[in-house]
Amino acid sequence: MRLREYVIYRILLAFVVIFFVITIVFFISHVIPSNPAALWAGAHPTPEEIERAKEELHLNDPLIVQFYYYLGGLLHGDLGISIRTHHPVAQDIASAFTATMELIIVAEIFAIVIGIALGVYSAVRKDSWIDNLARLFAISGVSLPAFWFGMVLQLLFFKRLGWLPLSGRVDTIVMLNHPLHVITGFYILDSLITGNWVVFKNALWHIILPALTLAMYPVGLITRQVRSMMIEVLQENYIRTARAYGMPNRMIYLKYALKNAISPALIVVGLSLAYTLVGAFLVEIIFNWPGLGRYATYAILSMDYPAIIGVVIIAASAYVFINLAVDLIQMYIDPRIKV
Amino acid sequence: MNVLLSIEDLYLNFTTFWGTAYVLNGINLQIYEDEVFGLVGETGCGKSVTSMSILKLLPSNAHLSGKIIFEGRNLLELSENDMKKIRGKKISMIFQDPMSSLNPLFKIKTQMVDVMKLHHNISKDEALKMARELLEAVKLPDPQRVLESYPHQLSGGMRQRVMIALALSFNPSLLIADEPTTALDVTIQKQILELILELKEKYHFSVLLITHDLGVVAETCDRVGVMYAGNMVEIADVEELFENPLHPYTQGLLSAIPDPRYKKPLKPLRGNVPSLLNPPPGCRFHPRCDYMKPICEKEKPELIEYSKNHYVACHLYGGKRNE
Amino acid sequence: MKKDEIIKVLKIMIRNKLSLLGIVIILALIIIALLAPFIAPYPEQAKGEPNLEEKLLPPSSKHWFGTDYMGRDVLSRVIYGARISLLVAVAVVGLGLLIGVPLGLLAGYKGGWIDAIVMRTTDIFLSFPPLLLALLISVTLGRGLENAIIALGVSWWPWYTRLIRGMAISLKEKPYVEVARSMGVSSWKIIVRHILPNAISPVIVQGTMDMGSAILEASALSFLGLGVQPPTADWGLMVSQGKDYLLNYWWYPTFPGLAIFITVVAFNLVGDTLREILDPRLRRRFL
Repeated sequence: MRLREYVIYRILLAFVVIFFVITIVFFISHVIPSNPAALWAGAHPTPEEIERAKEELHLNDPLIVQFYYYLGGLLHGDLGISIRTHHPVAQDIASAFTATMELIIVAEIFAIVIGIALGVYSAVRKDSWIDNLARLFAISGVSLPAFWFGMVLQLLFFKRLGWLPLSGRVDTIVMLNHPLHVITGFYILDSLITGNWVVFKNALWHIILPALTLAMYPVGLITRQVRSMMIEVLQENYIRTARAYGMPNRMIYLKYALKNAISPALIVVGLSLAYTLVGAFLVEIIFNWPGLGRYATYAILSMDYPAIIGVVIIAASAYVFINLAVDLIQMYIDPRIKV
Repeated sequence: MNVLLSIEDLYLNFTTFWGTAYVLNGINLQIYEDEVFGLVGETGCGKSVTSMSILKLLPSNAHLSGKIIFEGRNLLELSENDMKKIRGKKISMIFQDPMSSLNPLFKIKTQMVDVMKLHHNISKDEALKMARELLEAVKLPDPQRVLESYPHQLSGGMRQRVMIALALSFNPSLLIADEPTTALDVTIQKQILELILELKEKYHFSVLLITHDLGVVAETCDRVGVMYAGNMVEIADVEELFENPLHPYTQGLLSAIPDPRYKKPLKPLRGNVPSLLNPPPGCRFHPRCDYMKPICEKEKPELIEYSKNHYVACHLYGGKRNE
Repeated sequence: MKKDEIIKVLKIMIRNKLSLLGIVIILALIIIALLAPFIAPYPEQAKGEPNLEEKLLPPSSKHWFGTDYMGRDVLSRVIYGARISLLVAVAVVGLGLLIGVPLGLLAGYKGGWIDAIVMRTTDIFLSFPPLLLALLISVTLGRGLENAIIALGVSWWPWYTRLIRGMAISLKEKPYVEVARSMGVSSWKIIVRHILPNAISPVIVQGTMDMGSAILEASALSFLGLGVQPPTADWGLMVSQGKDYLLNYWWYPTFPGLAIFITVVAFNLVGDTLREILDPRLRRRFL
């Protein structure tokens, strides 16, 4: 396969995957026995109300026709109406999505900073006790059950030390007293732009624990990758050349070696972005973070299938496109990668 | 002639997960001022590691013992900081593969200026000017363009000239050239070797030339050391070695070269290079030697001066205990 | 892999402190799981019998890990939970291998359209977030241990298919395979006799390395209420139940979670070292 064909193939594949996802999720969620019409009609519905609800939801049509309606709506960005909240699913998801993205981005920043520092240090001091410790830390990172680690952090920083809030995205009382003018939907960014320092500090304090919890997995991945890339680069001849000319280690490691090691390591960042997207589901439940994961959990619990389908489609699409972007960037950076 | 560098009883082993590899097994050699010393041997015989030992650029699992005396100091006893003042400054090195010896992600300019500024206390502009002059000295046309290039934009020969220019930046007294021409075309090979000899005459440094190519040795070196499996087996002047090889291994190497002058049949060495994880006892060459004696399996032969300036390590020529 | 190579790898594993630690923990877990009825102080409570007089007691000499909301001994339940976790690890990887290996062999050996279909299918599966896929399957099939295992196994197989397909492709060029083919031996026989035995060991190594992740993902499903159902003692489920008691009864979710963590770390320590030894790019570090 030539490069251009491969890129086109990958893009097409992404769409095929997403279509498969939509189809599978749609049919699966309609197979699950539940009574959405009763939910839709509200508390203590009369049979007539249920019948009307069925009509509104196209529930009397054959499944394939319902699917057709759904796809048609999807093309206009319409994911249907949530049975639980009675809001359009797209609208629910939009606000949940920015909350999740804010969490993921902060977590990735933690992960990149810690991961690169640890990885470089442990490669340079390969086989020392520091390296072993960093390796143990990296392995622990990918072995931690996020839902449990979040609880441990809550116990420590909220219950014992009282330094950080237990859960949530921002304290309601703070938002009431200092209303935030929402621009991007990212609270930290919005409060920074509008100079709303009270909300900024509050939001920052709230995000530390969930972001740290979510960061543990990518920290492990990035540390491991940076370490092994650095070890490989440090064996390269040009590093030997630099040493043979008496170049100081700091310059070798931080200027010459890191630049060579960093681009393969960035691939892992992309990869871990996809992982954190899913990890966020668990972390959000623990920290009561109003994101996609919490929304999905409630949707599953109440069998709110338009919401379930919507969340899965959005999460899967984000995952697919992040993966696609990572692969394409990797090919761009490293032309040696042959398809 | 004064001795510039003297290696005495150099032992080197690597601790690996698969066991200990005995890579250098008591190396002795002297390099005089203003000479070209050739180190020959098959791949994996320890010749490159010897040169890396001189600069102490070995991985952390390496253990060195013995002495490397350079300008009256034992390099093995110097601290890492003192070594940094020697590397590049007094002893420079050029490597086999000029492609991989330059960092692919940085311009030649950056890499040269960074090295210049290390030891000379100069500004960036002065460093650039020096770099340009050095590139002229190694006869690179259009130095300005070379400075602005990335390594992959230059040819192999040009890259090797850049490496030589870097090596010359501090007027070293010893230039170690580790297979400097192996990766290059034959015509370029000759040019690079000639350049090295020419620069040597001009700047008066010694050259330690590491190669597996006896033809290169014959053309460029004053004296030669032959290595086999971590041992120095023979040292002699070039003419003497080619005329009168003593060690069976040297004889084998020479008879493996097709020589149109003598119509003798080619006689390749039998057997394989031994594993350094588990080297044969006694003389490491004995399993492949046609003249093996019982003692060869038991005792390592010492390097002795068999005739004037011709050293050999072989029981055939009377070790200390054998006489 | 040859026998002496396996011995060499084992020696390295034991000499490396971290992987030795992993091996010791895994062996201990296996022993604990096998001997659970004899080790656990209150086996009946581990199986679910409530003990309502002793609800939510902190750790003490009587209950080392405290008790849960039904007064059951947390230590006993953690010990019994080891059984479920190891079972899940083996079952998920086994199921993945069972689906992945035959498909990979077929795709690699046969090539052509079979290969194309199999590989495109793995592409699709691999572009889907695994936990989300498992979540969907669990939701569809209903809650329970078997369904969680099926869900994870199904999201797992494409890795093995890809790995073994690569091996099969390189093996089918080998002279002994070509000789067999030229003598008219059936494809089926060639695959079973020649390809499978030579291709299987890296896949098994990979499978061993994956067991940690299998336990971790299964525990996440349990935590979401989609795995093992009460009153069975399962670590993920215990953390989930203990979640609401966290702030005042810290021991309840903490110890089962710690058990998950330690187990997964142990598997990953072994896996990480194996990976470093067997990865050809990293291999030269050991030579």
